[in-house]
Amino acid sequence: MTVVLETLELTKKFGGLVAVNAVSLSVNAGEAFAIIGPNGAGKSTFLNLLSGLMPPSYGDIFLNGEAVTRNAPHALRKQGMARTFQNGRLFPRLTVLENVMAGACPGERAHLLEIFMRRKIYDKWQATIAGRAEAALRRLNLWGLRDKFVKELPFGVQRNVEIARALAADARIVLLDEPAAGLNSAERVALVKTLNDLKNQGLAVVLIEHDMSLVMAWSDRIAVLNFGEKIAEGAPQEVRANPRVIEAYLGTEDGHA
Amino acid sequence: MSQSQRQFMWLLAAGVALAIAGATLEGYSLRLLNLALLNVIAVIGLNFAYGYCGVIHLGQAAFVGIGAYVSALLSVKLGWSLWLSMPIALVCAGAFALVVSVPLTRLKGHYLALATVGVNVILELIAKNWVEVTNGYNGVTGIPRLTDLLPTIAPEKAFLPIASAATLVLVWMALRLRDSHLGRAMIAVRDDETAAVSVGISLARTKVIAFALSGVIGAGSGVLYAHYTGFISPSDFAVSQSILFLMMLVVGGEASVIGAILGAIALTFLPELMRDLAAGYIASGGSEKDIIARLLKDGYLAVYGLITLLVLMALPKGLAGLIWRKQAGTAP
Repeated sequence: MTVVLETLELTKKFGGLVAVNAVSLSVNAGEAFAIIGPNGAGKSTFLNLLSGLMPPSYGDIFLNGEAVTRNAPHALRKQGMARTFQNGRLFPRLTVLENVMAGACPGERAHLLEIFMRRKIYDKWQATIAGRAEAALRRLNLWGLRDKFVKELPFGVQRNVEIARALAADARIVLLDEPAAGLNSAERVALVKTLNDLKNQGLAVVLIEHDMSLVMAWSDRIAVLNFGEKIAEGAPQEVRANPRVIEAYLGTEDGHA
Repeated sequence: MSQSQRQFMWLLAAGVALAIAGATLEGYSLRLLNLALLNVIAVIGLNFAYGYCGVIHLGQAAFVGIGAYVSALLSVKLGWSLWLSMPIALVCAGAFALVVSVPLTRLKGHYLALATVGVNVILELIAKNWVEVTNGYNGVTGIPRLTDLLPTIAPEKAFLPIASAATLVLVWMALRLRDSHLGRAMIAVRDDETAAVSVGISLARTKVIAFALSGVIGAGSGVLYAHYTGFISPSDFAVSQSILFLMMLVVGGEASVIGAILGAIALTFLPELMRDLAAGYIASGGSEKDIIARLLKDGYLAVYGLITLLVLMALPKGLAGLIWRKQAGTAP
């Protein structure tokens, strides 16, 4: 199996607080990998380290075998690391299509003057980008909404547009930060389908999620964080049975979380 | 009709309107229209940095000034042809904008705004105090005029086609840029920097391009201004003028080319309108000394400020929002 993402002793300290403490893990191509843990366990911080939004205090990150620990987020996206955000971060002044097009050409450039001087070549390139965006939107059944602005859309649809934006350009791995939060049941069903599609297409998917039934049904492997430390890792059944995980997060059958 | 065809029709309509204005207006009104078009150019430039990319820019007049001074001095002091001095002035302004944008765009919010004011103040001080080169407060006189090419036509009339052509070409370029990958990147950066970098947009590169583009377009306005009026002085490019450019953009509707046009035209004509109102009030029997006449005549800037405030309160998307009210996003 091809390892897409690997972290070694990844650590983030904020002053005296250790938000992520020496977390080592690896994610393979086509693997559904979930990270769970109580609020404040360091899950989102871990994702921010992976996607380059924060530099780690120590440790290393490898993407496709290459050290990318201090790469800028836009450079990481070009290298195939896509992500979404917990609170849905679309661009409100762009249409749905433009939002996805904005994410469809990481690292590709055209000279400013080409926009005016070599219009045919430039317009052809734009059509390619629009084509990628269209494919991503169709994949998530959003093509009919392409001319809408973000605030005209229900929250669940916005989350899906964000996933389309993350996937519009080639990605090797996609990091999803609580994509099921705030979704209604129909939207949740659509999300599960999307997640399964991603897995089947050979993408490595890292999911942070509180919805345990979704995580247990979908994941191949789960890592559990508590106070920044990885306390368990394994198949869903193993993690579910792990006493440390039950104590820290899952709770017992009588409903204690 | 495709988007580009629609844009072309609008540009054609604007061209026809300007031609009619040129044929019917005379003297001072025509001069005001010319100056309004030059303001439109500077404000469309500012729209790239501030309107699209969110770089709070209170120094646009400095770049207008660089364009005006470089071209004026090259043609007056060195006797260069203005066909050479004008493009060189644009290149100089572009180079300067690139150099200052690298440290400036690392700043955020108020710090960035203050730094752009600083750039404007420094350049204004240089223009005032480097007397050997710039003639200081006296400014530069005898600048060759573009309208000298058509000596039989009144300069106001002769300049209108030049200003109109420059404006229409720029509007076309600005609309095309808005719909390009760079336009989307600029708007994305202003809307959400974190999301923008995460989808592969380089913040530094996008901001530097937006800022430099603003500077070059502003310099274009300055170059035309110098070779239209034939005289420039440091006060033409003071920070107050930069604030006025920003007001034009905000009143017209930030992040919109149409807004930049509406704002620049409205705020160029408004103070003159206020002056005319004062004259009309006195002519219709009002005393020259009563409060209304004095307010209209001497306090027109206060009234002008009040109207601006009302527009901002009533129309958060500016004047462009009047036309594109239904759309959830912004006007083109």
